[in-house]
Amino acid sequence: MARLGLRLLPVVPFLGLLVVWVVGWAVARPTLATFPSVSQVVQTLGDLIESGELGRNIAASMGRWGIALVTATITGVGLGLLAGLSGVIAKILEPLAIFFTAMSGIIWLPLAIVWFGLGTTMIVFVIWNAMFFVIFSNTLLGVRSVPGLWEDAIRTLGGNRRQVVSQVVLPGAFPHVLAGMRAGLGFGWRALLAAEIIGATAGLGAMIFNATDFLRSDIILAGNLVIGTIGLIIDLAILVPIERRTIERWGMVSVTRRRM
Amino acid sequence: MTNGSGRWTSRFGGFGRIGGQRLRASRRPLLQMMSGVLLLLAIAWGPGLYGRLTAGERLDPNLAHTAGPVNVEVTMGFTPQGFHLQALQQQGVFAGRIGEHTVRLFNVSPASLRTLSGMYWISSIRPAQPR
Amino acid sequence: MVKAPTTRIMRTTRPARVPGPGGADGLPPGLPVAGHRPLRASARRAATFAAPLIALVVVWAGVKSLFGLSDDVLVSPAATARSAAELVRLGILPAYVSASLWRITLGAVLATVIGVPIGLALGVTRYGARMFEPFLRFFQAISGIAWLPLAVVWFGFTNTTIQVVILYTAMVPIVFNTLIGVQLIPDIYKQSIQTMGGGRLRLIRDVYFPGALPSIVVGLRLGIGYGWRALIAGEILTGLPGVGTLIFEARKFHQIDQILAGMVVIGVLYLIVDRMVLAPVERLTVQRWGVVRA
Repeated sequence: MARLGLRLLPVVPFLGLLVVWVVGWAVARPTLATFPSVSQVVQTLGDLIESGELGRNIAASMGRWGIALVTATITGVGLGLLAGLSGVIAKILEPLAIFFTAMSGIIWLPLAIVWFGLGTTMIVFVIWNAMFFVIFSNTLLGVRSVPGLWEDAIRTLGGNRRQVVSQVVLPGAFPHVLAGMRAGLGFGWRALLAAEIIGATAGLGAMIFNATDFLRSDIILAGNLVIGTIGLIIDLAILVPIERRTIERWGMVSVTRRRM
Repeated sequence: MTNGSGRWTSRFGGFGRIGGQRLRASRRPLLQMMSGVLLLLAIAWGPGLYGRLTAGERLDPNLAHTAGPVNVEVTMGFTPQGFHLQALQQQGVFAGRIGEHTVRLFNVSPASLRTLSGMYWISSIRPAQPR
Repeated sequence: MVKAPTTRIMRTTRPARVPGPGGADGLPPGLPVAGHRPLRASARRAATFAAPLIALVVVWAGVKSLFGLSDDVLVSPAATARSAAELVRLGILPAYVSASLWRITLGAVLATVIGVPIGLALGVTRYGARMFEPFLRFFQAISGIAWLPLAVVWFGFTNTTIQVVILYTAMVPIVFNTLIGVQLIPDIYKQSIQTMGGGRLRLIRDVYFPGALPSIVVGLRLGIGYGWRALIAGEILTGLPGVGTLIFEARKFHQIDQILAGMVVIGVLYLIVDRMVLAPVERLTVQRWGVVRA
């Protein structure tokens, strides 16, 4: 019984917020332009799902995000590994990465619009940009923080260069790579929203921005709820299991998840 | 003995109640941080300061001690863009342009005059000539 | 430590801090670790700070000439510098930069002043992390930028809109990391103060706050990172004077030199804020309390 209570603890703040929302709305009775009621949001959510509009927008957003994620992971981890293993490449790429991380993501928006016009290519580029540098930096850090001792161990056992990379460097860097990917997911999600709010016609960001024209705060809130939920799902349902199956199984300290 | 940065420090020397060693070791990041903050302050306030220091060469001497609102002509070294017109309109009523580089402003209070003279991108502020 | 035969992997496999001044800097082995001349050390540090910019300019110019990119796609570093100088001459750049800096500073200060106490309060509750972690993650996922439309509905296209969004965006990581920081403190510290008769205030001052400080600083760094981007987005959306507006307006007239100038300025500003102001603070706290950053 106590264990069930413990598992349900995370729900408490959400419930608390819900109570505040309902009570607050009942007391203040704001207009739709100011703040919607719970029932309004639920109703709007239902309407959006029914009309398929929500589905379409989610698909558009997730599609762009997915493409960018795959591209950014491949390029980020690949280049990060390369840079970590080769001092020459590191000398060139690392200072660049420092600078570009400082202006990654949405800062490229105007330039991306000039290059690609408004649309999906532009948005994917912006998201890729936001994710790539984070993943790259963390991969590089990860490769570098593999203790030299481990490489020595493989070598004393007669391992060649390739085995060093595949058996020591890759797994050793993995916690940092995963941390980078987690951060990258966050940055990418933000960049997606920002790019869509400013320059798109379809997608979650566009959906909530169009609602401003009509002062439909219920659409905005419904959209935000969906956005938050998707983000939470991605965080909890994708990353944590991956972490559990790889890092914690290998007995390394996770850099992203703290134990209670 | 040395700490990590190679400086010789004494174990018992100190600044107040923080042990001397700890303060010396932490001095470099502190200095770095202070120089960063100073740099940012310079970026944020520097141009304004520069403008205020050079205010004298901008403002026509006849306008230096006016008591009430005046009409002025503001000249810049370039064609004013939206940003400049907006900034000017906050100090007076826009009353047309003269040529490419000058803007006429009416009803500029002495306080506004001071503000205008502090804007370093303005070349000169003269009393408005009657048309 | 035995000097192992240096292979190329070994040389770069030293435990490294995130690239920054005074870290693993690729010096050839053999240079003594301790006992540097202070002058050489600070010169090296300055070089490490300038290295990103130098590399940027070199690669930039290289890419432009190598691929023969037209001026519609990329302008040379020289043209960008000229554009930046022109913007300074016109008084636009300093005014916009000031406006943005004020916004982010105000947002960061408010977020810290409000967020840290909240985080502390949440952290001292039993099971605080377990209870609030998904909640805070949820709101972090929504991110400030998604609240921009609502803020516009409430406050219009004004400065308040931007400021509110920055505040929110920066506050969530700060609260979250403060919470985590408090929860990470081993119980024994709290108990030792209590056995010595310390009350709650003493606990906060001597245990919770210092103990959580490294995490708080990490949260602050994250918060400013996110807040910076929210600032840009907010400026783009509202069109108020700011660096974001600068690059967005230039887009209308395809003034790539101005866009690039603005982007470089933004990058440099953020580098200054992050590396010169925040990184030392982080190093100070980590040095003092030696906690591995989460």
